[in-house]
Amino acid sequence: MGATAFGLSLVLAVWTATTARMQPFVGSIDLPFADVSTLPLSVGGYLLTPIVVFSALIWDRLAQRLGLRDRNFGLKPRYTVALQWLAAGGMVVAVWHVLNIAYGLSGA
Amino acid sequence: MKHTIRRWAIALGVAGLLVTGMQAPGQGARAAGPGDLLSTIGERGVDDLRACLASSDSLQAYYLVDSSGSMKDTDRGMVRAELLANSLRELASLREDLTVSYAVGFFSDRFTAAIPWTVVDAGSIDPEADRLAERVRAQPASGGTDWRAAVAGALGELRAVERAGCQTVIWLTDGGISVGNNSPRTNATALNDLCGAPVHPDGASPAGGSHGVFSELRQNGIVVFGVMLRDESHPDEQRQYVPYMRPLVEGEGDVNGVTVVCGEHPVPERFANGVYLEATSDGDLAVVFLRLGVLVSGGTNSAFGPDGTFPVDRGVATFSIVATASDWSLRSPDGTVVAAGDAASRGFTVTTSGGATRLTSPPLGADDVGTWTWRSSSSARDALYYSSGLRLQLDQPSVFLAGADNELSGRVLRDGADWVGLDAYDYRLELAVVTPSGEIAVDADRLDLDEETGEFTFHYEAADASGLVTLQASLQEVRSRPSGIPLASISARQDVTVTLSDNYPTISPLPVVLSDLEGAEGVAEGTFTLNSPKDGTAGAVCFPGGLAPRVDSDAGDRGATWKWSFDPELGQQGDCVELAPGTETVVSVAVSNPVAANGDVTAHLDVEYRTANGETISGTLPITFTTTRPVNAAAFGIVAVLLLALGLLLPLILLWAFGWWFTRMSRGRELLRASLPVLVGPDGRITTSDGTPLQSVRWGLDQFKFESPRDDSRRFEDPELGTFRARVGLNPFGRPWYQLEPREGHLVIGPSDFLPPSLRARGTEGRLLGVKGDLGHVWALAIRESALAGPRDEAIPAQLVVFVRNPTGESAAYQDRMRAVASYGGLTKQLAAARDARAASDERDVAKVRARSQPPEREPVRSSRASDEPPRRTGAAGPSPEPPRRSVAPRADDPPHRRGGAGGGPPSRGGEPPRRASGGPDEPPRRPSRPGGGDEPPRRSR
Repeated sequence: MGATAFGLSLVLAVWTATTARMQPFVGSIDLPFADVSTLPLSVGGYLLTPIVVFSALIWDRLAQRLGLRDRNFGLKPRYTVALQWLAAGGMVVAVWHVLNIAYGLSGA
Repeated sequence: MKHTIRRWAIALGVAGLLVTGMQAPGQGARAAGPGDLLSTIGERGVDDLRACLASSDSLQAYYLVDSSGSMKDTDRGMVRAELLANSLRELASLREDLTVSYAVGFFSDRFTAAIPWTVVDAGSIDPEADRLAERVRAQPASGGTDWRAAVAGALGELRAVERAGCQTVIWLTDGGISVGNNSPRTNATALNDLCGAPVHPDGASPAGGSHGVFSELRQNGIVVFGVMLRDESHPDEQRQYVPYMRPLVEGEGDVNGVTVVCGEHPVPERFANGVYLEATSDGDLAVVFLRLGVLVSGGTNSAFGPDGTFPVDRGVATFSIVATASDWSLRSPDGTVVAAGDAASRGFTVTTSGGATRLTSPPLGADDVGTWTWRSSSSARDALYYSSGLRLQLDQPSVFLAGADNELSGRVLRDGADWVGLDAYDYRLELAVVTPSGEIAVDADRLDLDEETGEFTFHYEAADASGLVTLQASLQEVRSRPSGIPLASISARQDVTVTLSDNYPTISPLPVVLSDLEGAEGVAEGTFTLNSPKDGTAGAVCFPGGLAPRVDSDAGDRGATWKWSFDPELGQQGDCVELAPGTETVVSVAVSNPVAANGDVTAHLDVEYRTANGETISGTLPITFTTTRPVNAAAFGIVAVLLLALGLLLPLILLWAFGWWFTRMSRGRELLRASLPVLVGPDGRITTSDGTPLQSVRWGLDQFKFESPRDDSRRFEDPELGTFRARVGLNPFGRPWYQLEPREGHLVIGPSDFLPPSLRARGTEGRLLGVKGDLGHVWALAIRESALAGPRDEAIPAQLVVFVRNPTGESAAYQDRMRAVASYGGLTKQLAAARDARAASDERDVAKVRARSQPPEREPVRSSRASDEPPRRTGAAGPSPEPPRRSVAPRADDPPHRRGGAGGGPPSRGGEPPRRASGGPDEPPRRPSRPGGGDEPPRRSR
C-alpha cells in the first residue's frame, strides 16, 4: 500500500511538474509552480504522500510490534525498512505537492 | 509559430525543387553517395532550419552526444570531438548578424548536462569550439544508450533557456536504444513512448494522447539532426533498435521492410521536420558533418556529370565539394588545375576533418563560368553543392490601406559574389500572408520586377482592415541559367499595418491594450475611439458578431467565464454606431474573469466599417491585456505551514508516539528469576561463591522463582540489577532499545544488545547495559564498583541474575539456560573495558584534585570588593588555615581510612562532602572511588 501510494504520488508529481512554469510569486520573484488547473492532482498527491505512506508505516510498526506476542507471526523487518525509505522519499515529494496546493489556494 | 509556418511553405517548395533537381533520395538512404545524404523529409528539415535562419537573428544549438561504452570502439580516434567543434564554428559563421548560442549534454545510461548555454561570437568561437572538443574528449565512454533519457534531457535544457529564434538539436549516437535493465520489453516500451505510437510489439503502448517527445520537438519548431554512427564491423546487441531512429527523428521510416510512423503524421505543415543522417565509420561521420555544414549554410546538392565534370553558370556564387580522398584535383574552364597543395593560395577554402575534405570555391565571376572537372580517387562518393548567394530584402512599407492599392517593395541581393541580374535564373517570386495556421499565398495584383537590378514591388490590395499582418516574399524554384542547376530558395518577411482610407471611419488605437487584469476579482479596463471618416463625411462602425470578443489565446482554461462590458452600450448584435461628420465616440471596455491566471490574453472583435455611401469593408479590432494571479504571501505561508504540519510534522509525531507507546519490556507469563552471588574469575568464568562451576550445579525451581505476572512496561525495577527501561530516541525512524541501568555504586555486565551510539561509552564502562526487549532472554551480573579496584588477577564478587521463560516446566530448560550463561565469553573483555574506563576516570579525578591542591595564585584584590566580604573559595587550597591534605595516590600498603569521618579523622579534602559510610548492612566496606582524594583502598582480607 505504501509503495503504491508513493508511486502514484510520484506520478502525480511528475504530471504536475510537466505543467510547471515560472509564475509570479511575491514582488518581482518568479517561482516554478504547477498550473493551477492541476490543483486536484496535487491534493491527491498530498493525500498519498505523506499521509497514506505514513499511515502504512505506522500500521506496519503496530502490526510488527503486536506480532511480537504472536508466535505464529513472522516478522518482516524489510517491510519496515522499505516503508521508512518510502516515507522519507514521500516527504520530499510531499513538499512539491504542498507548495503547489498552497500556491493554488493562495491566489487572490 | 509564424516562423514555422513560413518555414513550411518554403520547405515544401524547396523540397520539391530539390527532389526534381537531385538524385532522388529515398527512405532509408544512407550517406553512401553524393545525392542520398538526406531523405526527402530530411531535406525539408534542412530547409526548415535555413528558412528560420533567414528570418531570425538567433540560433540555439544543443549538442546531444552519445558517451556510451561502444563509442570507444566506433570512434576510437575521437573524431566526433573535432567534428562537433567544427560544426559549431560553421554555425557561428553562417551570418555575421546571427547570434549563436550552444549547450552540450552527454548521455549513456542517463543524461548529463555538460556545458550550459553559452553565446559565441566571432571573438569567442575558437575558444568555445576548442572547449566543446575538449569536453567531448574528456567525457568517459561507458554504459548503455538510453535514447529516452537523452532526448528528455535535451528537451529539458531547451525548455530551460529562453527561446530567442531558431533552435536545433544535434543528436549523435552509435547504437540502438538501451534503457534500464535493457530488457526487450523495457526498450520496446521506451521506443513506443518516444514514438508516440505502439510501433514495437514487445513494448507497452504509450500514454494516451501522447505523440512522443520527438513530435513535441517538431511541434516546437526544433529541427533535430539525428546522426547514427553505424559501424557494422562493431558487434552491437542493440542493432534491432537502430532502424527506429529514422522514424523517431523524421516521423516515418522503414523498419525491416515495414513503414513505421511516429508522432503526428503526416507531419503538420506548421511543424519543423527532423533530419536523419547515417554514417558507417568515423571517417564517414566526418563526411556527413562536412556536407551538413554546406546544406545548412545554403548549399544545394547536385550531381557530377560524366568524368567528374560539372557546370558553373553566372547565377552560381560558390560551389563546394566534399571529398574523402586527398589526391584530388580541380580543373577550371580555362584549364587551370587546382590541387590540394595550392588550393588555399588560389582562394579556395579547404576544411579538413576526420580524413574528409571540403573544398569551397572563392566567389565566382564571369571568368569562372563554364565546365569544371573534378578528379579524385573517391569521386564516386564525393558530393557537389552549389550556392546562389541570393538574399531577399524588403523595405519598411507605409501603412497599407484596406481596399486600396498598396505596395510592398524590396530587392534581391547577392552576398559573397558580384551581383548578376535575375535573368541568370529561372525562379518564381511569390507573396504570402502568414497566419497562425500557415502561410497563405496571395495573388498579388501586380508585380513590378526589374531583373537587371533585382528591385521589385508587389501591388497588394488588402481585403480586410485586419491591423497588423505579416507578409512574406519568397523566391521559389530557383535554377541557374542555362544549365538548370537547382539552387536554394530564399524568403523574407515584413510586418505591415492594414488600415482604412479616409472615407471610412476608423478605430484607434489598434490594438486596444487594456490594463492588467489582476486576480479573480480584478477588472481590466481600457478605451477605444470610433472616429468619423477623415474626409469629413459620415460613417458607421458595425459589430456583426455582436459585442462578444473572441479570445484567441489565453494562459488559462477559462473561455466560458469571460465577462465583457462596454460603455456606452453599443446595442445588440449587428448594430452599428453611426458617426456624424467630425464626431467620435469613446467606448470603454472592461473585462473580468473569476478564474485568475498568469499570462497574456489576445482577443478580437469582428468589425465592419461603413462609408456614407454604404461601402463596407470588414476588419478586426484586436484587444490585448495581461492577466495576473497575485499570490497572498501570508495565505501561502499559512497554508504551506499548515499542510506541512499536517502532512509531515503530525505523522512524524504520531510515528514517534506510536514507537514510544509500543516500545515496552516484555515481561509476560511463566517468567522465572534466579539470583545468586557468584565469583567472576580473571578468565571471565563464572562460579558460585564457593567456586563451583555453574555447569556443575543442578538448576531448578530451587533457584529459579516464579515472577508474578505483570503487564509489559516501559520500566521495571529489579532489586539487584537495577532498572530496566524501554527507550526510543527523538528520531521517529530510529530503532528503539532496551537498557538496564545499575543501582548506584554498581556496574552491570552481560550480553550486550543494541545501544545508540550516544550511550555506548556508558555501556563500555558498565554503567548501562543494552538488553533484549523480552525479559525472558535477559541475564546480567551486578558488580560493585569498588570490586573493580582490586588486582586484575583475582576473582570479583558479583550478583548473577538470570531470567528464563519456561512455559513447559521442563527442568532441562534451567540447565540449558545456565549453561548458556556459563558459556558466555564476553565477560573478560567487558570487565577489562570497565576497569580501563574506571582507571581513566580515576586519573581524571586525580588530575583535578592535584589542580585544586596547588598553592593558590596571588589574586589581586579587587577594589570593588568590600573589605568585609569573605574571600572567594579557590578550591581545596583555599584560605583555610588548615594545610592541604595529601593529594597523591595512596600506596598499596597504607592502612585503609575510615570514610565519613566515623573515626574522627579529618575529611579527605577541605570542602568535599563526606562520603557515604557504606552501601548497606550486608555490603563489604567500599573502596574509595577517588584514590586521589586522600582515601586509600580497603585492604583485602586474606
